[in-house]
Amino acid sequence: MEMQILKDAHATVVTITGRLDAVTAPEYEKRLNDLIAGEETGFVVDFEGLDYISSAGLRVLLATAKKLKVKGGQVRFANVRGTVKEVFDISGFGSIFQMDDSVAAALAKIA
Amino acid sequence: MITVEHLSKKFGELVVLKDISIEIKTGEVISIIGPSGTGKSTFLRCLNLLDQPSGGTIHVDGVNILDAKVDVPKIRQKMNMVFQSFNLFSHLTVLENLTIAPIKLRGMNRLDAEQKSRELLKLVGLAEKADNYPDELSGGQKQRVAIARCLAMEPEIILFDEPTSALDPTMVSEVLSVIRRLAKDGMTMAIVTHEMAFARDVSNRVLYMDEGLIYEEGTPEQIFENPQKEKTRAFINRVRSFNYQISSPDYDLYAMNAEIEAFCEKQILPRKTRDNLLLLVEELLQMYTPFLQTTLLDMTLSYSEKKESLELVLESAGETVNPLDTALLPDELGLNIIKSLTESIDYHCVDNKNRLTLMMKKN
Amino acid sequence: MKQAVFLTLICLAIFMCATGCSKSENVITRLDDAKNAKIGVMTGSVGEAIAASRFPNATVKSFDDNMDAFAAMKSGQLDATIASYPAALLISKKNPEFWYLPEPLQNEDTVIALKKGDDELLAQVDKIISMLKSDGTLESMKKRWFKADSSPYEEINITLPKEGQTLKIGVSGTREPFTFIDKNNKMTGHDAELARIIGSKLKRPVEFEDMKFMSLIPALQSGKIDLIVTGMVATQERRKMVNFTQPYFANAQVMLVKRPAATQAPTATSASGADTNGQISKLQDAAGKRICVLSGSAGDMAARKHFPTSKFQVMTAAADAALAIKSNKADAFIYDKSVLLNLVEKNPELVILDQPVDKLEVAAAIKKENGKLLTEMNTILTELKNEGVLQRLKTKWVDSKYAVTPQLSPIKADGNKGTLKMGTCANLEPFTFQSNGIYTGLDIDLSRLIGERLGKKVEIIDMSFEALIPALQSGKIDFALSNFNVTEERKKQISFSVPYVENDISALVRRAGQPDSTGQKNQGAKLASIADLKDKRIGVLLGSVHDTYATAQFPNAAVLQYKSPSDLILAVKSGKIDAGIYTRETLIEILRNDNELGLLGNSLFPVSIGIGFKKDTTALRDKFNEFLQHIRKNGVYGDMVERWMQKGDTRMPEIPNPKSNGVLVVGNVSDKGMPFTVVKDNKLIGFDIELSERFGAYLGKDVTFADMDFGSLIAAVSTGKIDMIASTLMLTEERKKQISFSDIYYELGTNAFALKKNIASTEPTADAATSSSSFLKTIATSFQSNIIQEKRYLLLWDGLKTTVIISVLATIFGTLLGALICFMRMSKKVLLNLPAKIYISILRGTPLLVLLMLIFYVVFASINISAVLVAVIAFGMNFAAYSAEIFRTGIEGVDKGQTEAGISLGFTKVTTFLNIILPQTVRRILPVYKGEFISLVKMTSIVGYIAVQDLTKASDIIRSRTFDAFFPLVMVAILYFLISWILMQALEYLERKTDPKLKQRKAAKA
Repeated sequence: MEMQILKDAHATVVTITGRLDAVTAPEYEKRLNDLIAGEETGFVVDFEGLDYISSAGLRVLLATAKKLKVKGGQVRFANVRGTVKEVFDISGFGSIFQMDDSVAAALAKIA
Repeated sequence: MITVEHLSKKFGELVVLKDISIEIKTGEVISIIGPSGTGKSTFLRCLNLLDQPSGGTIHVDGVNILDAKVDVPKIRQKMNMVFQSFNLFSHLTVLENLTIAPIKLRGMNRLDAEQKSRELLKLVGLAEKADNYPDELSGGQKQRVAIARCLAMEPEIILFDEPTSALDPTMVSEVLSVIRRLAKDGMTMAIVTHEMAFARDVSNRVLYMDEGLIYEEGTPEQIFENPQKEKTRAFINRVRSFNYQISSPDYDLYAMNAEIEAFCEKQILPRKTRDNLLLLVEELLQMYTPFLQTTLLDMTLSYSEKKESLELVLESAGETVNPLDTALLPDELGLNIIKSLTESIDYHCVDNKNRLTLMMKKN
Repeated sequence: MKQAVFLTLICLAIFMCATGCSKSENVITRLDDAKNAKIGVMTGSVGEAIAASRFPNATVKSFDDNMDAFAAMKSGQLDATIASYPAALLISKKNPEFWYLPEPLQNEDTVIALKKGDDELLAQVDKIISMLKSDGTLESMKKRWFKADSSPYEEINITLPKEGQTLKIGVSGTREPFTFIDKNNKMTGHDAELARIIGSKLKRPVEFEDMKFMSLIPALQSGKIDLIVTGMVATQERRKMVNFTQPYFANAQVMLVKRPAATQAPTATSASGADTNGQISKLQDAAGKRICVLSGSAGDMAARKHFPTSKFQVMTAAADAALAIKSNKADAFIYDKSVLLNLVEKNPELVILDQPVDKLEVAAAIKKENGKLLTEMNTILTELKNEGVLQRLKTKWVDSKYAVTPQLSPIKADGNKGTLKMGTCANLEPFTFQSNGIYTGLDIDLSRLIGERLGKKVEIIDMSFEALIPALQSGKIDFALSNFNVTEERKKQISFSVPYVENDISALVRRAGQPDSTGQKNQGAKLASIADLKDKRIGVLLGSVHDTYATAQFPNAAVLQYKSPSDLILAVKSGKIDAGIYTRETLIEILRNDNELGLLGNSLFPVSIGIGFKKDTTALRDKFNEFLQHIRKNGVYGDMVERWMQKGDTRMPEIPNPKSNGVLVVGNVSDKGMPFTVVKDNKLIGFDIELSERFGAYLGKDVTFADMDFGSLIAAVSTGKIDMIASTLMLTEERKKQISFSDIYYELGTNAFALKKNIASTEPTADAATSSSSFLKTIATSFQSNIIQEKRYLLLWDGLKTTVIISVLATIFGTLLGALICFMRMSKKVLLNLPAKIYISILRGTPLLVLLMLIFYVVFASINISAVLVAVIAFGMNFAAYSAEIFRTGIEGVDKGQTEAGISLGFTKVTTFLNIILPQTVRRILPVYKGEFISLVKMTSIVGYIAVQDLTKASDIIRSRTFDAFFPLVMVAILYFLISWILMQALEYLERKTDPKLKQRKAAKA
């Protein structure tokens, strides 16, 4: 799994590629926590390059989102498609998180 | 008619037949099926002593044919064999192929032999080819002549060693129909074949041979519809399986994934199926993680070509517990995913083992 | 005398003017004639001084070198030259139109020159010269280097030291025979040899410095050279400048002039009438002609006695006389025939007249008072005569025109009863001469035999002929053998023993109708004498005496060995070889019937033949010798010789024989040729056959002949396959090691022969006649002579039967054995398959001929077994090896499933094989099998080696009678083809029977 962090005007764009599974989830959690601790409030996670997500991945997404909320920030998910979307749907996460069709749209919403 | 007891055969160090015991009664049609190289042909060849058994006994009509004093050629005249490669005598005409043995071995006179042979040829539908030479016939025709040649000796039992394996599909049916006819007429036969449908159709009994033994035997219905043993089933269903063992919570997910991917590739499973399978396995294993400290997890994936279904079986020893028990789970995420991917989930405790059987959804 | 010469001069002058000779020649016959002549001399030489002093009015021209002077004389610019005797001798040898006037102008000493003051070296050299004089070295050197004839010089090799102060010898390398350069670019000559001897005695290496004569003395004075050894003459003038040793050679200055003979240079003589008045074809024609003689010889006396009206020219050497006749200076040379024979060898345009002039005896000369030696000598000579030794010596040395010097007879170790000194003048070949540095010849040979019998060592002392009688009288020598002709004159001075050779004195003349060099252009390619064979292709019978002879005597020739006489003849006739050497008697017989071949030269050497026996069994041999003596005594032998050898009578007499004592197996070669062994009317006849049959009758045994190859005879008798060899077996040292010989029962001649058209002296035969006859006619005659005549077709029929029998039996045996071997080979048991594998590989790897001979001569060595049976066994064994592998291939080629099907039907292994596998195998292998069989049939043609008379042998026999190459061979080839073809058809029938398809197709057609 790879993570790219891009600081935009109003938010931080986190682009994840590869798999978000029991092995890679901890890494995501850690980095995001670091970012959250660093005064960032707006986050957009780009799922374009993500091939696979399992429950472990879902959990860390949830955990980090919660943490952000506590701080008063927000996170939007962009480009959730395909198999990943299916998993989101099965688990009901589709309704918990804010989804956008594109990073631009998500950024617009945050701003 | 033929009683085989504890027959064994080895070629040098290689043990092909371990311990075969069977009885073939008059009028029975027995099909012998099984994977290649498991000794089916060898068994048949031991019956007519084309290969010499290493151990055990064979009684034909009460006579122990392994006894040194026995006139083996004479015995063989009672049981004829039809070969995969036909083995017609290329220097003789079709008619002569049929008449040579009766004339030389049974002292029949030429005219009688020829007359009888022509009738037999009619029976197999090749009367007009009587004066042709084997190399002028097609495969199917050759095999029919071979069968007629056996019949010319009026055997008590005919042994068929993969009679249609060398034929192309168009000719298989003509030979099978001859064999069917013989069965209907009450000829005792032992047929080694890969034609499952045919075997099912024509036999009284089916033997599934594997591991040098008669692994399972029964009526065609029993074997084909309801095979009891694993391997039988696997064979019948043309099942392929993959087994993996996880012994610690620090198992290497990716290594296992690689093997699973390889298995999928081998079975030429669609990508989606593969992806789903990987997800399912990961989720399942997540469930098992707490138990992995103390128990070994045995996972088997079985793919049935026939049914096109993937089955996962997870077995673990230790305390009787169903890992998917909602009470034990932190959340329902994993379970939901699992449920969405599977058709059925079964939990049983078998022999003190926790067994979880899941059937994946078909795409 | 003076008048006569003067008259001759005038006649000659007129004659010369009459022919319009443009050269103003002054012909000189006496020294005085040179008064006003143009004389050439060498600058600074003695000749120059002599010319100046003696011929003040002559025109003297000085040349740098003698050679230039002679050249000028040749071209007519000079009338005479003055030169030292050795040079003059040389020139006259090489240019027969010159000769030197016998009166010497001045006698002089030849010396070695040294630098003045070099006294130590002078003393050393003088001492050496004295030594060489007293031990006769100089004398013998003189003989060798100052030869009257043009035969090559014999140089003695002297090993010189390589270290030490070099002795530099100054020479002028154009002064033959003192110092000159040989063809190997080495300095050679009398003086060169002398210089080397001096060097070796002084233990110093020798170096020659070649320079112009006039530079020598300056070079000596300047120290560039140490000695001048170059035939230098001591003069007062020179003594002023250098020191001279004592003389080592007595020299003279002579005048060299043109011979006062006929006008033209001696080139080819035309066959026109110009010299017909000089042509002598019968002895009486010699009357009134010009006859050469050697001074004081018996020929001289005989000639003068018989032809008082003839004109005589006295020569000093036989070679000169021959030259004179060749160049039409004389018409005849009357001399000892043995010497003439030698000359004829070397001069093919000369011939000896058949009728001898006179007969002379040659005897040993002994001091008059030495009666004891005379008696001893006479006794020995009589003994030798009775034993035929003298005759043999004469044949060896005199009668045979040998081209290469024969070897001296071997004698037992030198006697220890003392030494006899024998004097001889070793310059008369073939009696006493030097060859390859040793003394040899009939006289020398005889002397050794005499010495052997007396138990004394014979020391040979070479001297001039004239010195012999004085030497005898003074007791310096005990006896002399030197072609001494017995004359009344001599008898007064010495005693003669009984004659040991009777000489013919014959006349040597030019050959009649000799084509000259402007005639046939290919003269050069023709064979004129045996010597011409030295670099040609010569054919001989393999393993015969001729073989050994040719290989030894003609190392540069290609010697080809043939297995039978008819092969040899065929080779000569077809031009594959240039000549052949064979038994003379047989050749004469052959040539009786053959127009194309002719004899080359006379008998080369006599060969004794005997009967061959196994080495250790002396009983039979002794019996034979007994028998031979018996028939010699009672005249049967003589009668046999007369009938077979002389009359050519081919009838075999009836010989009564009880045949009760067993069998005598005689090995012979049935195509040896007449008069010894031939096949006529399908029976063996000949001298050897009759001899064998008579011997058989003597023993009371029935005689069977085993006909085999000449090369196999010795092996056959050694292994006991035959009891004796009666096949003109020649005695040789080699053979004596392997077998034992009976006493000699005949002496054969040996001759070379070639196509007539290649022999120089023969007229080409009128073969135009044969080529014009039609081809069919030739075939018809060939057919008649080869097949019909003497019932030769019977031979072919017998041979055919034998060939077929052997082929068929061997095939059957081979097939059965092959099947067995195949079975063993295919067995899994090592005990069976290993021997089979070994058998197959050995038999396939051994050539069939070798196998055949091994089985016959080794395996069945002492067993009496029919050769045909051996052939069947050998061929069968060979065939079996191949068959086994063919069968195996066939069997393994049949699909394994066939066997399984058969077995599962209920056939046993054997019945499966017979009914199912075998038919298929046979079909598969039949083509290859056919090929092997036909191969076998043809291979049977080698059975001749073990004396089986098959088809090939039959053709050999016929050929040996008719010497017809074409017909018998073609006949036999056709017969072999027929046999193969018929058998092939039989096999093809079998093939068809076993090929099912064929049967079916036939049925379909029907």
